[in-house]
Amino acid sequence: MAKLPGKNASEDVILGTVKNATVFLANLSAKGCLNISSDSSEKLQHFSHAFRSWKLVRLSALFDKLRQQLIAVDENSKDYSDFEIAGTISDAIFTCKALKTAYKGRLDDVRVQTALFGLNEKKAGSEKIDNLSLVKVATEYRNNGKKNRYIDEFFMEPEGRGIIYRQETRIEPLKAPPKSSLAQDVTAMMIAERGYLCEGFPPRQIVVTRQSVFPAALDIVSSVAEQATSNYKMIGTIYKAFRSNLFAPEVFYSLIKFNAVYSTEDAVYLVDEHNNMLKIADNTYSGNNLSFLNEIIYEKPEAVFGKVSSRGQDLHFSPLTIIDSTASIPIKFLHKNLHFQGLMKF
Amino acid sequence: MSADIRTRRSIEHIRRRVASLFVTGLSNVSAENIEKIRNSILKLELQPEIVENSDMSVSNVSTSNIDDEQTGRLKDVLANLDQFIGTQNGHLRFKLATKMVLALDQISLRQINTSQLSEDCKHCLAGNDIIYLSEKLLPENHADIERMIIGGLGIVELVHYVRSEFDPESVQMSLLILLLSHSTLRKEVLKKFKPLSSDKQILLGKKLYAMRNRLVAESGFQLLLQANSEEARIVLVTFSHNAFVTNLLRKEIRNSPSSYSKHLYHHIGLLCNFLPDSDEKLILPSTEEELARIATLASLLYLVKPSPDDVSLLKLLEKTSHPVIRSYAAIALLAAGDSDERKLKHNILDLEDHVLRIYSKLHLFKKGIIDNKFLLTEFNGDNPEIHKLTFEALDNLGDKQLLDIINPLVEETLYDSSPSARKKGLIKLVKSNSQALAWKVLLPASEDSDTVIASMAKKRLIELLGFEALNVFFDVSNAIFSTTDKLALEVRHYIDYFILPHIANAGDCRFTPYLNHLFVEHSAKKQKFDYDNTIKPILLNFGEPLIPFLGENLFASEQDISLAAEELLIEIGGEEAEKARAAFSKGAPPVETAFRQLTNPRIANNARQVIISEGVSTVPRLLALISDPRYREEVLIILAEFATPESFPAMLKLLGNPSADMLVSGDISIIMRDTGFSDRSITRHLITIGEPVVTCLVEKLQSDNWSIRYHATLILGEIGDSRAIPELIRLFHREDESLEVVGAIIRSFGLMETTEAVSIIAPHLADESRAIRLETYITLGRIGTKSALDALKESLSKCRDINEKKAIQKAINEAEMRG
Repeated sequence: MAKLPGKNASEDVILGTVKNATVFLANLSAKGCLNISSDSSEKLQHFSHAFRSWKLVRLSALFDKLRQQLIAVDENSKDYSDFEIAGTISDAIFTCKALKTAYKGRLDDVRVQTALFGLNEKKAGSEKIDNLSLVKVATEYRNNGKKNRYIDEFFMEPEGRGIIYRQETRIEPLKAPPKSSLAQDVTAMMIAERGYLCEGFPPRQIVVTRQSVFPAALDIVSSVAEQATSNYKMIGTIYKAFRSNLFAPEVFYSLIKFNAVYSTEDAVYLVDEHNNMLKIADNTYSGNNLSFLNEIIYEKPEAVFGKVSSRGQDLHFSPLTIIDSTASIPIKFLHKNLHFQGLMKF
Repeated sequence: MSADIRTRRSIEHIRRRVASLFVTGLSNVSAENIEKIRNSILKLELQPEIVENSDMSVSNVSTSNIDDEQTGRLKDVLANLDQFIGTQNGHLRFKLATKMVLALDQISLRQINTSQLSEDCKHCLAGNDIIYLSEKLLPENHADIERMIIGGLGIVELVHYVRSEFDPESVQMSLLILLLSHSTLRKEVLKKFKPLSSDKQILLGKKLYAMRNRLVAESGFQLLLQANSEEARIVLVTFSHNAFVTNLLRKEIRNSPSSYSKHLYHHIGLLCNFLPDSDEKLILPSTEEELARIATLASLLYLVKPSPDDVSLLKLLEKTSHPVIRSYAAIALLAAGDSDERKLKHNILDLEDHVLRIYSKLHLFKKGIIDNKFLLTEFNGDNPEIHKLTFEALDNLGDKQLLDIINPLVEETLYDSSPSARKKGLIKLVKSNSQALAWKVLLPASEDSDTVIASMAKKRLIELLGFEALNVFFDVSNAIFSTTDKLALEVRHYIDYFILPHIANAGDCRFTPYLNHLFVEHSAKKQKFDYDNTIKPILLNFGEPLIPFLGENLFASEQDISLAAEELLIEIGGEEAEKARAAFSKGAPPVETAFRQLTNPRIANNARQVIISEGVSTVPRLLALISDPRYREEVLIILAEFATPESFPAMLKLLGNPSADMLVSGDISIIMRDTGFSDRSITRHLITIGEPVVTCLVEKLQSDNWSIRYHATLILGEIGDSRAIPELIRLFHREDESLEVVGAIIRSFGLMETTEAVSIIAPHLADESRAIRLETYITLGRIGTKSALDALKESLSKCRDINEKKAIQKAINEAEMRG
């Protein structure tokens, strides 16, 4: 196995810190997490900093998260959901375990490695890209702490098998986000001439070193839309399989078709051809949802791209993009269009 | 609550409890708490549904189940719980607790399922099935309907409406009413009701028919018609309640009077307590509402044929105190052919129903009971609807009778001194569709001194009479074209776009005057787009009949018209057209035409060629055209083509006679600026003149202005007189000479093939300026002596730039060819 990150510290030091962190978590749980001392809070922060400096991204993020959750418990203990804290603690514990395994050289799952250590370019570059045609289907802004802001761009192959690729661009602090060479609403097609496909959980990240970008033709958009999943049960199954790995991200990106929209007083669902429902909004009348609902009800797009997550035990779909090759804007990014449009009419 | 949801909730509950252990602290967990968790898990496993569901086939995965794997995990959790409570070791407890959280997370994840639409909603989705909905309207379970509508039809507003009234019966009705008020849904809904049984349709139709909402009432009406039973007809008659519904009913009764006759009379009889065989007066109800209902129904009576009993009812009705009912009864009697006309006259004058009133009046007029004044009173008001109805009735009379009746009105209308009164009268009269009246009224009106009235009359004439009306305009077309009145423009628009294409196809010669007007106007105003796209195709389609007037237009004082006419004649072609053109040019050669068409961008090119081929003899004529700015550019192009010493004076004249010195001295740019002529035509002339200007040009090489030196150099090069060489060489050596002039001198050496220049310019093969280097290559290539060739070859071996290498190679090739 190649050398793992952490070049500034020896593996012993790292493993020692990981062990300390585990003990700290155990003590914290034993005493209970209500009213944690400022010492504990600081310690959590120290751990987080240390792990970040060794590029143990996942563990660092978990300690950050735990700290924030515990602070929130302090302020408003009754409202906070217990199992979110329990989840974070157990996540952190298992991440520590996985790290130990990894340093012993017994962790074979490359996806988990990526999740633990982030993208390690030397390792991840194994699968090369050669003239891969991609259509941009969505853009998302992502915050990783205060300073690390990213733009995730999601791509699909025009005639692929529904595989989604993610390209990550870091936004430099104090700089405007990088501008695409195309106008915002133009459907972009990218030919990734050179680059590589990184290991990891789907959507797999691509790093493109040479590319050409131009507007996409409409038939390309419709061939992208054809790859949409039309059975929500399938999405549920895939999601469960995906999430059964502890280290998989909480959301899952998918392109779906729908047959109808079903609304009750407190939720809105998409309905597929087999009458399976997928919740898309908790409250029918909130502004952001309305904008999306208007779009899908009036325009009946061919497909919708978005994130699948679980809230409680319901599958939940958060739309990012509407794809319709017959529309004036074939791939419409929803976050640019979140103004209130009035009551939806059918 | 379904087993599915129950299971999921309990798992969530257990998960929360275990998670809370972390928050409250693992070291101080009570046994009681653990026992609760354990019980919840055991309860979960004991659920009877779980056992059932675990055997279910794959197709039924949607209902929640706890499969073997999950049961295994739950057992693990139970074991962990036992261990947890059995130990006080903090580390072990921590380990066990995290294990449990993980296991429960996974179980919870397994519970994620996509829910399915309810059966009702599925049904609706299948095709917005309204039959299903309408059947559901009658049962009590309104919640189902609500859900169906929200899910299937998705009318959110509907839900809110429904919520505001909670009476199930009214909920159902209001749902339906809302659906029916929807303009597009309504038709669909009605279609879906068709397969319903007649009883159901009548029941529903009756409710709807009684509604105030027009659309809903109409839906009810349609539904009752669909039911097509005696019962439905009774409902239709009994519940007709407002003017809108009555109108619908009137149409229906007109279609099948016999099926309604009985019901109508029966219902009226009921309302006024009528007993057959009694001669007594009727006892009319006292309330306004009931009276109005009788009146409404009575207004329909004239459509149906009464039985003898009914006639007696009618006669009684005619005697009642209610004037409206009385009138209607009178008309019904009239229709039945059993009326006393004098009474009728008395009764009908106050009738509110226009149609009935007008027709009754007409009936009485025919019988000679009333004179035309009674009919003309209909025109007293300003209601155009009444005027139209009256004319509809009158137009059937035949032209002669109509004119007789309407004559007083015409006289009064057309010969009033006030234009506004005339206009008002005309507005009434134009409602008639009679052609005879049109000729009588509209023709004089079209010549009215008031242009608005005239235009209005013309427009209506065209509408009524079509092609015939155009005959009218042959005489009045001047009036149409001279006014910019809006209506006149509308009339013209109407003619141009609707009538002209037809007459063009028909090739009717009578319309040529109008076309002439059109042609003259459009070609003169240079409405190029209109002319080219609309008028010209029509004129071309017309073809030969137009030749005479086009021939005339050749002589038009306005040149545009003349030119357009000539152009059209050329395009129409044929012997006649040629004759017309010959008559115009009086046998002159085509150059005459060429001169005239010189400004016509479409044929200017040809015209120029004709003039150029004619030769220098055309110069005086060209010069004569100078004063016209439109011709200047063309004339200059032609003169430049000639470019002979003979044309030079002409050129000078064209330029406003500048002094020769000024011309040569490079003030060309000034002349060009002032006259708008191109550089080329002047230099070309100077070059053609050649020798006489050389001395002057050589002098100009001394000028302080680099531009003058530059031009002079180039012209001298082109002339190629060797007298200039010494001066050029001297200039070449001037230290502060500009790059442009140096380049020009090098080029001139090339043009003059000055062999002695090779040694002078060869050093410039390595000049810093690329432009100079390139000029030098070309010049050396042209001169082509051995020394020049050697210099070039040497330069080629040193050169690194691929493009320059090409240029040098080219020059070498040329030199070798010459050498």
